[in-house]
Amino acid sequence: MTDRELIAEIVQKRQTQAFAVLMSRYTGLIYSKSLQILRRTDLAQDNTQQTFIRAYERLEEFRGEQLGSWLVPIATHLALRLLEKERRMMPSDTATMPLQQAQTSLQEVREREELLQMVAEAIDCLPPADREIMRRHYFDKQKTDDIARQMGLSQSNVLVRMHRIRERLKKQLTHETDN
Amino acid sequence: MKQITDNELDQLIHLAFERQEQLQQAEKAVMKTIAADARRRTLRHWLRLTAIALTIAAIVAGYGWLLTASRLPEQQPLLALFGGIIVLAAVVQTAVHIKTEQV
Repeated sequence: MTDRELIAEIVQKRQTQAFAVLMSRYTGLIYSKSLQILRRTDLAQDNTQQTFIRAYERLEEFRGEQLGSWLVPIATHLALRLLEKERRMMPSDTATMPLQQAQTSLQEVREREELLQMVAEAIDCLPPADREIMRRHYFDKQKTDDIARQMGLSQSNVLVRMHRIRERLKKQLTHETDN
Repeated sequence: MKQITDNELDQLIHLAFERQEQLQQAEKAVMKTIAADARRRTLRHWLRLTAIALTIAAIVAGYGWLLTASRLPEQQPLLALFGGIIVLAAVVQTAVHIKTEQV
């Protein structure tokens, strides 16, 4: 379903679950934009939530085709307001970062965010079993023998799969950063 | 061409899963807020309907009593008071209705 169709479901039929589908399409983008402005994961998460709540309240005003281009200005506006609020609460000497330093770190954050988006997309494209192996190893910090036992595979099979996935990801990332 | 080291890749994969988890939490929180908002809207809707129904019932009952009381001269001051209350209730109800429509 397109964004427009999902929005029609939400506005006309009050199908709130359709909003979950819309959100899953754009949370990565909005979080990333928020993080680029706010540079703090907790604030970026808050801002992402606030952006979607604001968007839900004003969904009837949406006239475009792609929701992303409508959400980004909302997220930016809210993030700037939040940043201003945070700055006011910070002591004045820490709030004034040299311009060059600020620009360098912004560039770093952008590059890192782009890489992270690529990795996240590449992981999403993996077959479910491979994604599960990676999640257990990299997020749950499980050992390969535990993963193998729980998933009914041999340890060597898990190791081979992980090696292949990593190689594929590395190749993909190198290729995409070249482009 | 920028080569990604094994270490960097490991870190990126870990961060990507961590990010996924954060986003899922954010999505859950938003859906919770939206569900609570939907519940509040439904409740407001029913409260408004109940208020309208009770007001109409009060007006009808009051009018009936008014007709009965108008035939008895000693009830005239009470009659005027009750008439005033009914008009006031109708005005308040209309104002509340207009206000909620604007929201």
